[in-house]
Amino acid sequence: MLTRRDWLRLTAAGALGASASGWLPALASTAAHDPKRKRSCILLWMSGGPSQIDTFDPKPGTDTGGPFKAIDTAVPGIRVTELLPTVAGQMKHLTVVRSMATKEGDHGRATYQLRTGYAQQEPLQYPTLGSLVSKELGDPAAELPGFVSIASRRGLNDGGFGAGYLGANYAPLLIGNSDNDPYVPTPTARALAVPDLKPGPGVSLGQAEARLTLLGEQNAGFAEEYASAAVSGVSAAYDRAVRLMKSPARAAFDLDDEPAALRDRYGRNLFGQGCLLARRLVERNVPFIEVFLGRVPGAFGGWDTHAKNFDALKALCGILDPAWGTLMADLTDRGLIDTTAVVWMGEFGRTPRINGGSGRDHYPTAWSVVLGGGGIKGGQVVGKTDKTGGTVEDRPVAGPDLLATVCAAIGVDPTKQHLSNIGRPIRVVEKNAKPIAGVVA
Amino acid sequence: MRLELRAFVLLFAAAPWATASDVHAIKLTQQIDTRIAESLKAGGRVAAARANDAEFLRRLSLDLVGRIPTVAEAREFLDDISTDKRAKLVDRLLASPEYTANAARLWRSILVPQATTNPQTQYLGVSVEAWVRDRLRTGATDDMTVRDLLTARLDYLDWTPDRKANPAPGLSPVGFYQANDLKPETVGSAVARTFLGLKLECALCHDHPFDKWTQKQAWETAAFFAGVAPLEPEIKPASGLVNRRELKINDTASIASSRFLDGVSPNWAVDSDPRKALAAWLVRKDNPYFARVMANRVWASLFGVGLVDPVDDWGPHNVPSHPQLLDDLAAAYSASGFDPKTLIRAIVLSDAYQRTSHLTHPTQSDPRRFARMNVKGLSAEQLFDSLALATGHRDPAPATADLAFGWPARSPRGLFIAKFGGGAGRTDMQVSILQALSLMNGDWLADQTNPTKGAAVKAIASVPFLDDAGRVEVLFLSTLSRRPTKTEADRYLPFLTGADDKARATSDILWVLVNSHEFLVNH
Repeated sequence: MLTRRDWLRLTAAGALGASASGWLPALASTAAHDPKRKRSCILLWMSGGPSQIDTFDPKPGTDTGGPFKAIDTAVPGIRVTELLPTVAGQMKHLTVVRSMATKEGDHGRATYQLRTGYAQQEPLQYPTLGSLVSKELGDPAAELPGFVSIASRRGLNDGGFGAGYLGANYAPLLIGNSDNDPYVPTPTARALAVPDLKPGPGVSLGQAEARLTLLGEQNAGFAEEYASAAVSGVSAAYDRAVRLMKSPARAAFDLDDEPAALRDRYGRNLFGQGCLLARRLVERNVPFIEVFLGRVPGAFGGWDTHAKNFDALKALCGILDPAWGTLMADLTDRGLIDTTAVVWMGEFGRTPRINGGSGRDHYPTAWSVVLGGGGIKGGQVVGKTDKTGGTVEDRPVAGPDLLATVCAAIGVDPTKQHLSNIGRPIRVVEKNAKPIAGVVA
Repeated sequence: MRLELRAFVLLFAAAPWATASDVHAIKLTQQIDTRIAESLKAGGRVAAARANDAEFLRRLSLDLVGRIPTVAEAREFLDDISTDKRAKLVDRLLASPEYTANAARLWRSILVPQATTNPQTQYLGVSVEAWVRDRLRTGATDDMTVRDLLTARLDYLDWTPDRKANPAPGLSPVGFYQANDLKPETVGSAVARTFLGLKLECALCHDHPFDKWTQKQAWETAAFFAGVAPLEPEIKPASGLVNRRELKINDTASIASSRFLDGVSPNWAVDSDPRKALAAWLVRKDNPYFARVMANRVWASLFGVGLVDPVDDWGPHNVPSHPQLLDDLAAAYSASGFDPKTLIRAIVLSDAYQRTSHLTHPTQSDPRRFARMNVKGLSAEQLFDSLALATGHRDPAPATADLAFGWPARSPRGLFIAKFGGGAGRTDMQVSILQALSLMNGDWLADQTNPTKGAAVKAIASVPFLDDAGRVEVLFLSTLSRRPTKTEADRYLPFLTGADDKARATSDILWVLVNSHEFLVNH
């Protein structure tokens, strides 16, 4: 029987030998059928806080309902907004939670709380979910990092995006988060590439090789002689960086391997192509990938739709729907849906009340998230809001409960404790958190 | 008479070992050595050897002025044969403007830790750091700085669209209050945590099971800052509001009145301003926390780990590793009038600080026993400033407009710090994969090590008075602050001499040295 490491080595060797087209289907089916395959999670993060009423908790015909109609989905009885027809077709893989009830209405603090499960408490930095999952499910010997973050926008709050006390080994590999306009209508290869994988300007490949050889000699023995967390951190980061530079696994980031038709279905935009990249990374056993959807043409505040909410929702869902729907279908086609959890969420919802500028404001009291894919019992709705969406009437869910549910779905023990950098053991998810009943498959 | 005084100043001011603070420092150094030696002996630990001059020089420079030494500084120090050269170096660095700038950076990371990781509050760090730097330049001791911080005028000028106050122009520590959301309870918790090492945050919502601090006490502390929250919709706090002393507890109807954590109520006849009353109580010499907490922070900044660690979470659950030593440090700090230089001078000349970080015995591995020096990570600023020095990069001065609007400067330094930020030189600081890739392959460092663009490479490769051995030596001095070992010279000299393109080979060696583990840590 092959060990996980043997298997990795074999696929790496295969990658060197075979052409991309011959290799990819083989990889997908191996990945899907490996009995020891660990689970992965794709987090679709909606920066700014998406309106629940205009997405998954429609209230047609009420004062707060807005102009969009509700449509039937693949699961009888569950209705969502007309803006999400492709996602509606995937409803048998999805659980809609309509009863998120949180307390924080500030972008920064809410983002931190929803992404780490803890309130921000300086100076202890809690790790974001992706770092926790990367620590629990990642393979330290893997060529790809255990946590890839695509198109993240950190303007609202940098806390809650990093590895916190877990340390830089579990920090996300950031892709497509250029400081310049993050929206690239037609992402070039560079938009979703790992930065700085190739030698810098003016340095030839041969020269880079010679430098790395000299660097290895220069470092020889230092990590042992000066054994410490600081040196082992530097050493681990350089090892993984060099591994990635030299590895055939970096081909994961080359979307040109994919059929043009499939790329079109995902949508030729940063989020769509990011979702496609997420699937490619899942195939290569990366345990956690997050893809951000925020600012797009027609919605420059992302989901933070204080004004012109309905126009913005059309623009945002026009990108969200094909990408997410295609992702679910693609994961299913490749036999990966049962081992890949997909989570759709933002930091809070938006007011049922429509303000004078046709906008909706921050609303943590009653909002929706969607869980789907591996480890999640699909085709159901959890919780209920009242007629106008103002309050949660059934099964309120707190932020840490949601994280505990995701952990349970992908096989991470939410009660496990980690030793923080300040010497205090801290649970993956806080003590009182419970997975939402009936959601984990 | 006047002439005599001048003569006295001339004679003794030029001889730093004779100043009053140094008498304290020498005594304190001896106390540190005794305490640590006792504890090592009791634990059966083998102390590491004394660090060599190069190791000491590089460490001290990074710790006190935030960068590696220059080639000239390294040569001068390594070639100095006088026996008191380490003490002289300490005095020189402590007297330099760079020390003040570095100290202000440390204060900023302590006062506005949010600014290190959150770009949204980064501008607050810039303004608070500028304010501290200005205070330190005028010779403010720590108690003065803390007092000024706590009693700072809060003349908020106007609001941003998302209802955050904009700072008044000019140097002001108001960013400290803004970083804490202008909320009395958040400011109160930050003050308690920063200067008393007490975590009241948890007690704000419920009585903490492990701590003796109650919810009531947390709110009584917060009540001192009742006036920092401008009442909406007023733009400025109306006069009198600053003297608010009472605060509604969270969502309840109860009211908390300002009261010190020792249970005593302020004498409002003496101090009508609650913040002044709190500041006076905080820095009192009989306050059991302030001097210890501050002295412990100085220790932690030099050793990478505090005697109490984490440094801002004191209590029965987190006791000091060397309680008597902590008392000694606090007493000396207090006696010096809260002058951190007295502490620093004493600590950096102790045996513990001067030990090598080379692990030579298994009993040396616990970072909290100080049997060897701890290896510390570099902060983003230490790393950039050291890289700039080693490669000859000069960052353009940031546009004032950038700073005024609070955006991180678009200079290479600003961008680098944004990319590498997130730590403040703790022993467990780590670098990420992307940071490693950026150092190895990124445009900025590629340019700085480029044979036709990098200032240091160009100079080293072309100056006529250096032979190849001299070039290798300068490359080592400029990066690792030491001369190459024989093995290293044997490796790099043929590499350089045999190269067709000398400038390119020089750039290769520079690239290797700045990417080496040795360069990337403070060891």
